[in-house]
Amino acid sequence: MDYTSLLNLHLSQTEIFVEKSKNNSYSDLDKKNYQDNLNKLFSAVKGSISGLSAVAPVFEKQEHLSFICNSLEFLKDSILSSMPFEVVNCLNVAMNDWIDQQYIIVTSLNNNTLAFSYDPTLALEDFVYQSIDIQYGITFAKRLVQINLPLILSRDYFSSVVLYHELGHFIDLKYAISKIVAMEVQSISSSDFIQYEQFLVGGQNEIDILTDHLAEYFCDIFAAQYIGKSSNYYLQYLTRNSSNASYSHPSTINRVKVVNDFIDNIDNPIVKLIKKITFNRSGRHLIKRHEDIVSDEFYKFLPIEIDNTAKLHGVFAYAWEIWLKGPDDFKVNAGLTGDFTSDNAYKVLNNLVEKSIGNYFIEKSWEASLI
Amino acid sequence: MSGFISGQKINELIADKSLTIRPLLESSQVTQIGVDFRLGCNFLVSVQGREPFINTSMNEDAGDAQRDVRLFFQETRRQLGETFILYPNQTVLASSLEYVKLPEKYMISLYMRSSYSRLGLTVSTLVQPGYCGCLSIELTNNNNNPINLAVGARIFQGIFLEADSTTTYFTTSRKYMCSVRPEPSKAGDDKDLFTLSKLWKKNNNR
Repeated sequence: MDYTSLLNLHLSQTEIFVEKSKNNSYSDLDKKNYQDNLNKLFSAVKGSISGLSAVAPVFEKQEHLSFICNSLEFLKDSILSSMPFEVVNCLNVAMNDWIDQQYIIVTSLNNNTLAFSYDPTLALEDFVYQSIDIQYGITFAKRLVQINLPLILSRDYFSSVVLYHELGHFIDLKYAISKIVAMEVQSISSSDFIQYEQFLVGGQNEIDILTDHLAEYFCDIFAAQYIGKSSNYYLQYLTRNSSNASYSHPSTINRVKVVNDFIDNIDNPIVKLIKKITFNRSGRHLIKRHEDIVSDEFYKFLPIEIDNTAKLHGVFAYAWEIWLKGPDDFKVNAGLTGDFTSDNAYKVLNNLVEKSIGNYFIEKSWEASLI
Repeated sequence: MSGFISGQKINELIADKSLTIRPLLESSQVTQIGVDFRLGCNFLVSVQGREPFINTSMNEDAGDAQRDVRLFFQETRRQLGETFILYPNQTVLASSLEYVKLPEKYMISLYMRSSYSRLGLTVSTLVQPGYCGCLSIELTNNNNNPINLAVGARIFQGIFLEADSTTTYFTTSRKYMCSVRPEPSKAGDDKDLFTLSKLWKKNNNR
């Protein structure tokens, strides 16, 4: 089959996206530079497509066009007006604990209310960047870390805790942590495997299931460093606290236990193994990186004053704790006499989390500008 | 109601924690006559869409339903140090950078700072005693030229007025509780609109 016409169709479709995205206005120069590079890349691809008929070069160009579209999908939702920049700033702080600053977190806002996921394509697929560099001499100084989240929940700081888990997938793949843990589990004797059996119900032999389950455990622990047990609540509700594992995910009961054991420092073989390999691979320890906030500020309808990153991450767990106690408890603690519904509590807590986080970054950038 | 309170008294209220302003980036924001507030990061820009008008009545002759006022606004956000252009005759809803919790005996009357009034910018807002949240402001550009405003700039000032007795903010249901972004009008939620509409129906045999 001659794919030339289809490649030209792909080119025209990409051109619509590129033209539309030229109107994007980025405050962040890194994103602007990335977009400028995409524009150059599109011109270079367009200029080199004529006369191509062999299958291999056609599909190479297809790869480059897909790269442009995929990048634009995320850049489009990463301008300030659409991106939830308070939570993305928190994720940036967490990412910088683990990796150098050659990455930009970008978001794609989805209509699905459960659309929390991480896409590794633009951060970790080296061959695309190499191919673009070799073919056109275009180099991307920074890469995109793509996080999908539901549009409708982009201001919901309760479900935002899930994004720490998604960031964990990037860190996991970057250091190949779950892959190495899976190989180690495969290499041990069946008698030694018994200690892990409860958590790895698929056994030792199915490497894909093993790796996927270990990746989920890693991401749960990674997130728990920052948001404590907060993501357990949402997970338990969504999965009805399932005791069944799927091909891609361990059972909720096991996931919750792993998080709880990590936070409570309870001896757990899976936690121990993941911690060991994580340090070997990244040189960083999986440790508690958030502060348990003890405060009545939210009950006084005041944003928390945050002066360090541990407290910054801790504000999510703090809001969750208050939420779980219910609106009546809030009402009593706040000394309210009028009506105060669950929806009031939801709005107030989200507003206070947003302002607490926002004020931290405002004060930090203000102080930095005075130096 | 007595006169405005001085900067010295405002500082005392902040020190004894009965007044909260977060963040207060510079102590000099508390002036001799009030507090200079900064332009916040969130804006609601008035836009014209398919809806012919904003309906604040419940009478059916104006249409079969009140449409959500949010349809007449578009949200846009900035970060500290960035800018926002306000066009001639345009009104935007903005908010203060500062989150404020007022004591139950003091209200704020908001005005543009003189330097911004002279550009043709106006604002008109009262903040009730006990209010907590970022201050919502309705900014209008009466100049013939667009004005580029820096987010975080001290553009308006609050004059504090003391009431002759303490009020209680949270004893009734509040429309704008702990707001941190500007919120469009909730005029349509006023219960007397229902009464007025009922009255209109009765008077007109409907």
